[in-house]
Amino acid sequence: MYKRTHLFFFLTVAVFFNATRCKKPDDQPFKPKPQTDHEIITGIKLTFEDVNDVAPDVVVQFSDPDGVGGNNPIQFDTIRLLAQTTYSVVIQLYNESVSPIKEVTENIRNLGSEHLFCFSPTGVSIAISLTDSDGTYPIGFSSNWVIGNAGIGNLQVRLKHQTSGKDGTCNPGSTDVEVNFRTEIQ
Amino acid sequence: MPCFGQQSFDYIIPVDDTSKVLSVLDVSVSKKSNLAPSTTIIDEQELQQHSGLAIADVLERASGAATLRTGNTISKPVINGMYGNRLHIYSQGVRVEGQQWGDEHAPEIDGHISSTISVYQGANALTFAQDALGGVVLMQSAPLHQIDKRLGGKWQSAGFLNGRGGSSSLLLEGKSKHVQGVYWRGQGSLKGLGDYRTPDYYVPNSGVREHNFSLETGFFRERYAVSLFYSQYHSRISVTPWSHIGNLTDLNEVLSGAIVRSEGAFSYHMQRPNQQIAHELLKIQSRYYFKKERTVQLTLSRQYNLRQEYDLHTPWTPPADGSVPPQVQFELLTYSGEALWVQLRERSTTKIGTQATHMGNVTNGRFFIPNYIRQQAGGFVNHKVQLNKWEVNGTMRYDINQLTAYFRENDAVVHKKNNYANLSGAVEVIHQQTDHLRWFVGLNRMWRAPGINELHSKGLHHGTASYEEGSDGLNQEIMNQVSLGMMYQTKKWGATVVPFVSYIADYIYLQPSFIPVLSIQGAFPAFYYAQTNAWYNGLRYSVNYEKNKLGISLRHRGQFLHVKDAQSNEFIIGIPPTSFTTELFYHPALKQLKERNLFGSVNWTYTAQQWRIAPERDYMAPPDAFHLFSASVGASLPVAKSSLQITLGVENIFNTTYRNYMNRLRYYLHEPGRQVSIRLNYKF
Repeated sequence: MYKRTHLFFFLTVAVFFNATRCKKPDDQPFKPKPQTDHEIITGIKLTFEDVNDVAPDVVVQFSDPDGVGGNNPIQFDTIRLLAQTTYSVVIQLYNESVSPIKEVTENIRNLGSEHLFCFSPTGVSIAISLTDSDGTYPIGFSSNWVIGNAGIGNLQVRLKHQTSGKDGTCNPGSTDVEVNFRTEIQ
Repeated sequence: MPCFGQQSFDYIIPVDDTSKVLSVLDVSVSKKSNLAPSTTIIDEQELQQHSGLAIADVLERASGAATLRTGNTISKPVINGMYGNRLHIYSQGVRVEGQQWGDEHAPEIDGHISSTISVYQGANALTFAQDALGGVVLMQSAPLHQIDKRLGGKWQSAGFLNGRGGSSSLLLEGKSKHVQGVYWRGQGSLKGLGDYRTPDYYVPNSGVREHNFSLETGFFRERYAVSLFYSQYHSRISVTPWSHIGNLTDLNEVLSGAIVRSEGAFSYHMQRPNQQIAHELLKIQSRYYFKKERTVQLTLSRQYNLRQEYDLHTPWTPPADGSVPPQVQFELLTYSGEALWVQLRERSTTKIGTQATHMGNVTNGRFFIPNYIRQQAGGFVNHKVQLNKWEVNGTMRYDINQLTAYFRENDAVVHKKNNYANLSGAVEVIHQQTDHLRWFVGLNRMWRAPGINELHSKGLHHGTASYEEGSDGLNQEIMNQVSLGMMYQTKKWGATVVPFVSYIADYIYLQPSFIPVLSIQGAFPAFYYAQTNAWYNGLRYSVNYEKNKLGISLRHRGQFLHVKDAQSNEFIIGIPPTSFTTELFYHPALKQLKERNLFGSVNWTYTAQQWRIAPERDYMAPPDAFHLFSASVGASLPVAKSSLQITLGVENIFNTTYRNYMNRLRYYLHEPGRQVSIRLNYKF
């Protein structure tokens, strides 16, 4: 009788493993693949050019290649501009988590009708007007900054992702980028 | 008469006296007298009254249970304040292996398959696993060999006004005409709901779709039995875009009330963000009945779980083939096996068993948890003795647990291993002092190895705008628990009081950091998995009154939890608030109406405000207390030799506007308004 029992359990096991001999989801399932393009933004670059070509160009960067968490940002510049000057500003966005570093400005610009840059200065006098357009509303990759008097403050750059309901204001959507730059007007 | 409530002692559970062995192996036929306060059962009739609801919502009727929600469509069961990694759900005797660690991950189970749900704690829970600190939830279908018809079945349908949808399930079962002892069962169900409505507005993109099926067959002979079970579960759950925020500034804008929500309009359309989940289970089980009431059972199973999460935003650069991949995907493949040996004697039962599991996870897309392999194995001995007025139930077990996580660092693959092993045990003593009064004492020691998220998670939680990171040096947590019980039962009155005290050493929790994480998306509050010692204390009670002549019964139950960090002396967040439920049933005891099974019920639930909180750990004060009222009426109509049971129900009768502390989206949403439902059940 014990023989029969053994045979019985053996059959159960055999049937089971036969039935589960399916294709594995991946050849080497537990070896992680190289990190694919996660479509994240890790860096922002602002390039300032005096419209009258008098003041020197200024480049300001924020860079956190490993994304949220992990190491601290490796570059976090201060915006230093001249008083009573008008700058034209161009923004570029990067994904530095991949090698080589990928510029993603065009990817976002292609989805311009879903995005909007919002700038809010505090403690410094800067008047900002957006100069590009998605066809209906501005996006903010290029803008004109009219600088007032000298002072020290803060400038918040926010990129809002407005999947639906873009109306030219900063209210709809969620935040893709938010950086608070220390700003010094000399 | 329909059985209501969840009081464990007055349940009429079908007892098959001819197969005592089965009553030990199949929970659904366990004896009424065996039930300790560490066991709760929700039976078939009660399940029918709530068909079409998610498992957690049905289980909410059990003593000590609550629900953790994400919106209205995702719900996880909570027992004694514990959930996720600390609460295991078993379907068909197999532990459901999905991505339980996620608060927004609902268990992957079709509620229509089950005919009973049981909750085990203490010595019985330890025969399943050492790490179910909150308990073990067993969902079981009726035993195959109890099918007594050539062809029978069950049709269950539910329609809901809020959400404008419903569910339908058809179950067919029978036994073979040609081969004696061959039984089979097949079941399929569909579910679909559109956007739900709070008293003031529709919640956009809040629908759900589900389709599931299962097939089961078995061959039962005098000395042995073998059965095969296969099921698939598919669901698509929408998540409201209101809860999709980019950072803390966005969250503060919502909390400040700056964002005005319009009433909106109803829609069935399912958009982004959403989750798509598939779960597959294959199980093969065999039993051999030796002489002298000795049985051996072997169970093997394979589970495949696929979870795909689609963010609000489509990828910037979709693949050339036009497909739209999910932003994150988890694939989990689990093999598990269990061998059980059971010896029945006149006054005692001995169970010896061993379990082993091997699982592997592959993550694709956005990083939150790494690829990993978890291997665990354990063995136990359980002994139950009945001596006159005393009953003793004890379990000892030993388990080992190994987790290997794989990371890519630069271009090399590195792995990290964590090993855990420990002993656990539980003893329960029940004393029948008088015919009406029973006492219960339970002592438990259980342990749990850290989960993958606690060790290695790293990333943002979008719904709560927080950054979370695991720490790979965590120890196992160890719970020591004492629970007491007093059960009083006369013909009219019944009362149960169960207080419990648990001390969890090295309790794993999310510790807030004072330094926020700075990123290009702004600064996020950061939380790191850490360990402390915690007190998990509580009390649950119930009081019943029945007046059979009038057909009236009244049931009242309440639960209270007091959970504190023993080191910082702060309350631990996310614990269900105190609540009380009172139900009145009317079942007219008139002879003419007996066949019609007419009944009516009214239910009143009071949920207190959770004031036991750590204020700086939450963005918003806990929601106010609320009262909810619901009512239902039902009757049976004779249809073709059988009867069709119809139940009409109204929930949140007064369309109360409230927020729920146990809803992760409470910052963004109110709870659903009035719900009107109709349920049809037909057994043939």
